[in-house]
Amino acid sequence: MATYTYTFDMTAHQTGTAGHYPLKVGSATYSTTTTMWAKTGDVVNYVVSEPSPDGDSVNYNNNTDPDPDNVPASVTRSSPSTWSRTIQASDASIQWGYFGTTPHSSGSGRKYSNKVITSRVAGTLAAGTSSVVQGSTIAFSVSGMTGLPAASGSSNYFYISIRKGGTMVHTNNTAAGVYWDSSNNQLGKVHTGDTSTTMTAGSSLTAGSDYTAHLCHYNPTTSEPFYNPVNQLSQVSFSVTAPSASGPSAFDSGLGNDGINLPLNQQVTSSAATISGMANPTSQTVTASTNDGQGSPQVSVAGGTYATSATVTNGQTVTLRFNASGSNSTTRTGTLTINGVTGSVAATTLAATGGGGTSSGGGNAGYGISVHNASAATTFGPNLRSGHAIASGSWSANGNSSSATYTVEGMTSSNRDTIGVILLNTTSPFAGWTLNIVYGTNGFYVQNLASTAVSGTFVALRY
Amino acid sequence: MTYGINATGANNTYQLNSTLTSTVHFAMINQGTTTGSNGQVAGYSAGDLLVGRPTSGSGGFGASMQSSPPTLNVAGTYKVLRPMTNSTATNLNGSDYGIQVKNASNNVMFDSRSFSNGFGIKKIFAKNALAGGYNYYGAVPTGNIVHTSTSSSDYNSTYVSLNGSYWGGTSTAFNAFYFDSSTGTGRVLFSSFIDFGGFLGLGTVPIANFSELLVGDFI
Repeated sequence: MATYTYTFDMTAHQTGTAGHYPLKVGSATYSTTTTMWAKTGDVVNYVVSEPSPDGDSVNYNNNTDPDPDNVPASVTRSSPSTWSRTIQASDASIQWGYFGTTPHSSGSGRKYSNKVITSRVAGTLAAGTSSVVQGSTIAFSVSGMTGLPAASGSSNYFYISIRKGGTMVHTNNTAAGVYWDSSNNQLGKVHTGDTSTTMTAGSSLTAGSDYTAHLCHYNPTTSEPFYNPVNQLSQVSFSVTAPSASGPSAFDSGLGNDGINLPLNQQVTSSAATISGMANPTSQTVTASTNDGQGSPQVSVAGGTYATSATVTNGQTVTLRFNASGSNSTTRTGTLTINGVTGSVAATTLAATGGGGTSSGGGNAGYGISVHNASAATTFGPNLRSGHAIASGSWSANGNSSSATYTVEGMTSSNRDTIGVILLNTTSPFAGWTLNIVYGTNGFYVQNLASTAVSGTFVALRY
Repeated sequence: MTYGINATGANNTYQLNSTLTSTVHFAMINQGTTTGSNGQVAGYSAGDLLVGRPTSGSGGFGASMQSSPPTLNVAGTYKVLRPMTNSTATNLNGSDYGIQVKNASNNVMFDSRSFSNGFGIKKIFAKNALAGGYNYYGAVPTGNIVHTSTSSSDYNSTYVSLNGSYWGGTSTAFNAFYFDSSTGTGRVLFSSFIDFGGFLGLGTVPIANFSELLVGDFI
């Protein structure tokens, strides 16, 4: 329970004249009809003085105007003196009148007089929901509102403050704070004519389950008269949560077409799909996977480093990379997943065409050209994937440079299932891991990522 | 195509297409075995395709293609395949019958008399498809299994392309292999690495295949 001490010098107002015993208001703005509001159990103290140099004594007026109660009548004390009371549940509004001993200069009545009014207030705060999403609203209402006069100007309100983990939230009217429909600051307001108010949680208000809303009355004697915890009438807990992520828009088609007849274990790289439509937040996690958990699936965002997962923002591209199956005629599907939205590329390896002998992977075509040897073995045929030479020669590349382009009939950037290059680096010391073959239309070149010149031979084949 | 021959095999594989200008069939022009370490490959010329395998058993396998002639690191069996345009043999499979196809450059792209054996390609590994590493007997080579044989005879007939191979002993190997007969019916692993030992704590660094690799068998 709180102890409120209100100290004042009495006002120079002659007793026995109109307007005597003027009200000592708690605030000329916020408490214009009441000196103090207090709760059941609170202790209110009024320290009353005759102003200097007249300070003599203070009398408690037991006359009928104002009508004092709860304090023994006709009490005269030295100035200053304190009048106290612990507020009872049966109290409603307590009005005390005082006059100073100093006579009025006219010889009639006394020079100083005042009255104070203490109103017992009560109210119970309730929240319309126990959890509010960032950017959404939560309604608060007060029931059992007691002791508050009708609102007048800025006076006669209860205030609702917000705390997180016990710390006052002062940030307001920005995304990181709170918005009220009843004020332009950090406090919500209710009054007898409108016992509800709505708070909007800022879109970036820190999420948490440790939020509390506090219903407080005004009291001029406290350091934080609107939201000091000792002024609290009631409180309610609630949570602030991040909104559910949404999006992105479908991006499957952006990853390009499925691959077929791919060499075993060939690394498959999708087209780059641009991501859009993500909200809450606009940056989300993209994860790469495959249907069989194999193939080292990875994703690159905006052309960056490949990783199993990454963060993508609206407007950025995602590229899927994984290895095709190591078995013939097998489809492995790589998938990128963003908030449950998926995009996939299927990679199907080439069928086994067999190698004769003991191979079990032969095809079964009953057409085409076959060549048999004297032992009746098929040495060339439709069920035998044969090798064919296209080109061969030497290559060279200076340090950190690319070689010339070497012509290979029929080569494209992606037809490794039918045309390939076997490259030999004859440079000593050997630095083969620094080489990168770049396939193109009807040819290839070698990127040398090392600083020293390299050279070697190559054989290009169709199979 | 208004003339010539175009043959396509099972699963849309290429057989022949006489409208091409520089594509010619490989004919096997030589085969042999080497003994011991660093045995020389006979009959190889630049532009040929060299495939091989260890003669028997398990072990690391690779060629030193930069040597002239190329050598195999262990006793091995090899086949030299030569583009038809450079092959002069016309009597290996009959001499006065068969089929001959010329391409659009008027060069022989296929002649059934020039080969009596075939090399059937079972698997093709695109560049970087194999992770590399010092893969050997008993290893668990994720991403490095080139071939798992279905039988011992399949294992014994499996050959690998050696044109991109470099064998530098136990400390260095590129685009090389480990033939492992100890597991099941045998398997072929990709073995490509640099062993830096304790230098800078690098240890063994895996090297992926930087160009295509072929696995096949002979008929």
